[in-house]
Parts: sequence; structure tokens; C-alpha cells
Amino acid sequence: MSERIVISPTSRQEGHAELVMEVDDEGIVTKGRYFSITPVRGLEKIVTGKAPETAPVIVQRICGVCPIPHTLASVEAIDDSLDIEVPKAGRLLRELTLAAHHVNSHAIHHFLIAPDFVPENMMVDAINSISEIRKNAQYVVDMVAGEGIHPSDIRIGGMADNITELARKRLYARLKQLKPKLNEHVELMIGLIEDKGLPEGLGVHNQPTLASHQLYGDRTKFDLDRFTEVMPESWYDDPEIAKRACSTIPLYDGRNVEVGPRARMVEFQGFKERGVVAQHVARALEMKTALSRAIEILDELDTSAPVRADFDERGTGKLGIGAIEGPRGLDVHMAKVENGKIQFYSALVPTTWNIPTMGPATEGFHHEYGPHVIRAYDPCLSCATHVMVVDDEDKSVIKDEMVRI
Amino acid sequence: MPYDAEILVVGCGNILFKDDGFGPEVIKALEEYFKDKEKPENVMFIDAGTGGPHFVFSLPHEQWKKMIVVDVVEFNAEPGTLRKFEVTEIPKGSYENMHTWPVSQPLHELSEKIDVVVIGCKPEEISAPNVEMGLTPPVKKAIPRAIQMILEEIGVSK
Repeated sequence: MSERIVISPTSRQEGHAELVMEVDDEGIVTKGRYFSITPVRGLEKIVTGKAPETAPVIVQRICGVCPIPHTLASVEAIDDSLDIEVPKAGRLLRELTLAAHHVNSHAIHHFLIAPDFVPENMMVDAINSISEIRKNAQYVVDMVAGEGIHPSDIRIGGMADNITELARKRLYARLKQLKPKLNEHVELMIGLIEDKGLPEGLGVHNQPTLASHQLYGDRTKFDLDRFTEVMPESWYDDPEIAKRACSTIPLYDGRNVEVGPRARMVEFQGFKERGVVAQHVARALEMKTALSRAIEILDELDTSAPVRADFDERGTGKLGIGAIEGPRGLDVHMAKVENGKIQFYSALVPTTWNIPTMGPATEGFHHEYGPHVIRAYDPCLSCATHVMVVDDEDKSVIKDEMVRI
Repeated sequence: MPYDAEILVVGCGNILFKDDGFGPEVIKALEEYFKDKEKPENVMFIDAGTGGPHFVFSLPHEQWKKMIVVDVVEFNAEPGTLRKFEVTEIPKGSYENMHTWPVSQPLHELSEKIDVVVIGCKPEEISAPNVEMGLTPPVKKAIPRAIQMILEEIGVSK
């Protein structure tokens, strides 16, 4: 006697998704399916045919949760298409912006999971500590990239301006000051997560991890030949779900993967742990890594060096790849620039990679733990949607052959 | 920040679309100009971006006496040509408040209460919807002259 438990939309995550779990008499999940139900945004189509500089400005508005990774992946893809060599100081400022954003974004996730792990009597302190960390991290993004939410100074070829020496010293002092507070917060969160007593093995799966860099991203570590994409209708074995799911299923070496903080720690720091607790621990530890890197960059940055390369925007039609490690995982944008216009644009975004892995990760445990498993991925669906309904009558989506890589 | 000065110089336009960024660029140049000079106390410079109608024109203050709007205006002239316009000469719809407030032409309405002039520059190219930053040469060249016109309007003699 199996029963179906549906959580729609799943809560305390960004964007709208649904979790459908088949459970047995004991309430144990025998089959888990997770899929996006967020409406399509169509930004890749909006930027096609427009001037290159249009892409970062538009795609950073894909969502307000991680605009920084999208902006960076966009300029990196166009830099690559136009064969631009970004000056060192420009690269450092980009990296600094992303490091600060990692700190901010992971802190937001701690806010989202606080009701799962933080006892009532500690809630106020935890939220204050999260706010303090976010304020400082966003201050860095604001100063370095021109704006906290949709940074205006991350440009094709580098950055709009270098920061002043005074700003560098201030930011350095500010982050140094934040360090003990952040360490304390990370220790607290890890302690609470480990003491929660989640069942051993919750969320453990055997899928491979995918990451291109420990923190920033490296296009040379993403091999387009190993990437394939299938439509939801050939992935989900339930036709109803296949029809409603609106993100494609990206595979690496033909397998669905896990991306994000744990994947990065596995690929670059020899981290061995798996499952929900490991994902939370990796995410918390990454805040430390990111803050240390930000301080390191501010220490070595030459504020008098050029930060932007001159470039010819006409382009040769070369397919450029921008690979950025967003807080939730690998964010790949692809762009072709020819005759001064974008001819092709595609965004392959972090949570899209995780979606096919998340559902099955709920299997083998009581369905009450389902949301815990989902939240461990810090899913963000807004930019993941890539399929749309064409026929409102029978709700059929675009055909397989229309998906171009 | 409250716009509580008697005279306001408001630069309007979108810096993402070439010459449409003229207004904000003039404000930047004005601030630069007054870096080492005494700015009259009753004057305020505002880079309103694309928010002029919604955030400035439709929120009048008691102390406002005069507003100088700086923007690109389409008229029959060479690109980079500057001219002073009365609000009545500005085509209806130029400064529409599209945020569903009752006042759809806030600048026209404002000009009935206070003195409003528009310093308009004929653009060479507005690249929308393509993001292309930076002014074209003739419009960039017009900035110093625009500053002179604004100084005359606010009563600062050279």
C-alpha cells in the first residue's frame, strides 16, 4: 500500500518547486521526485541579437538571490568569446566580489534553515549574527562592484573602476574585524546542525560531484563534450510530473550530479562526508574560506593597476564559456558574439544540476525528513526554468529535438 | 535624501543607452566643476537617472522655486546642439509617470507652480534596447557649454 506525499510549493527556499514522494506503510520514501514549477523568464532570448554589454545588465536580473554569479558568468562568457585577457587587478576584484557574495548568500541560507536547527531561546542571537555578517559582506559587494544587489561595475573586459587605496584599507580593516564574529557563527551553526540528531545517512547518494574551482570558477575545468541535457519528459517516469517540470536535466558524463559547497570541498579539499549534515557543514565552512580569500585579495590588491582591458566588440562567433562557482554550485553561461551582437546565449545554472539528484536523495527515510534533504541543497529555482508550455490545451512542452546545446 | 533646496538641477536619462546618459553625465561634471569652488547654498544637483518623473517631479517640496531639468531632446538640429526649452515645448509623454499614480505628466503640472526649464541636447544615438555606455563625441563635447547654461540659470556668474 503505497501513498503519495506532495509538498507544493516546497518552503524556505528560493523559487517554487514541488516534492512528490511515494511512501510505504511505514512512511518511508520509496521514490522521490523533485522538480521546478517556476515560470520561465526567457532572458537568454531577450539578450540574443543585442549588443554584448546588454547581457550582463539583463541576466543579472534573472533573480535577486544570486545576481553576482550570473553577472560574472555572463562577462566571463563574453570575455571568452571576444578573447579578452582581463588584467590581474580586474580579476582580483571580480574574485573579491564573489567571495563576499558567498559569505552573504550562505548567511541567508542559515536564516532559512534556522527554524530547523536553532532552538527558540537562541533564535534572536542567531538572526542578529546572520544580519551582522550579511551587512558587512554586502558592504564589500557594494563598494567593489558598485551596487549590492545588481552590481553595475562588473563589466566585459574586467571592472569599471579600481577601488581607492582608502577603500581598500577600510574594507580590509572591516573584514579583519568580522573574522572572529564569523568564525563564532560558523562554529555555532555547525554545532547546532550536528547536535540536531538527524538520522545517520540522511540524504546520502552515490552521484558524482561537479565543481570547477574551490571558490571562483574555472572555464577550463568544465568540459562541454562531457555535458548533455535531456528533457524532463525523458527523465521523470511519471508523465504528469514530466509535463509540469519546467527545467531541463543536465548530465555530466551521462550522470546527474551534485554541485555546491560540498561538491567544491570534495573536489578541491579532500572532503569525504556525504549527506544532509555534510552539506550544511561544508556550506558553513565555506564562509570561512571565502572570508579568508577576500582578506587575502584586499591585502595584495594594487589599487593603481588597470582593471579593464580594451576590446573589439565585433567578435568572431567563437563560443565563449563563463564558469563561475555560485554559492549553490556551478553556473555556466555560454555566449557567441559576432558582428557586434550576441548571436547565441545559454545559461546552465546551479540548481538545475541538483534538481535530478535532490528527489532521489530523499529515498530510504521517513517522508518527514524530505524537506530537510531538499533544504540542504539551498535550492534556488528562479533561474533554473528553461522549458515552457506551448499548448495550453494539452499542456505539452517543447519537443526534445528543439533543445540545442 | 530630501530634495530641500530652492533651486534643483535634475539630470534625467539612462546611462546604459549612449546619449540618453547626457543628463546624469552633466550632473557628474557639475559636481566635478564645484569641487574646488563655492557652490551656492540654495542649489542641489540631482542625478535622477530614469526616476525623475516618479521620484522627483511628483514629490514637490515647499521650498522649491526653480527646477532645471537636463536631458536629451529630439529637435531639428545637429547632434550636440543645446537649447533651452519651456515645458510647454516638450512633447507630452516625455516625462510620463508610468507608475500608475494620478499625475501622469508631473513635470507639466509642476511647471504651473514653480519655474521649470529644460536644458535639452540633441542626441546623436540612443542605443536602447542595446546596452552601450558612453556618450557620442558631439554630445560629450556639449557638456561644458551645458554647464555654462546651467550656471546662468542658477545665477552664478562666470
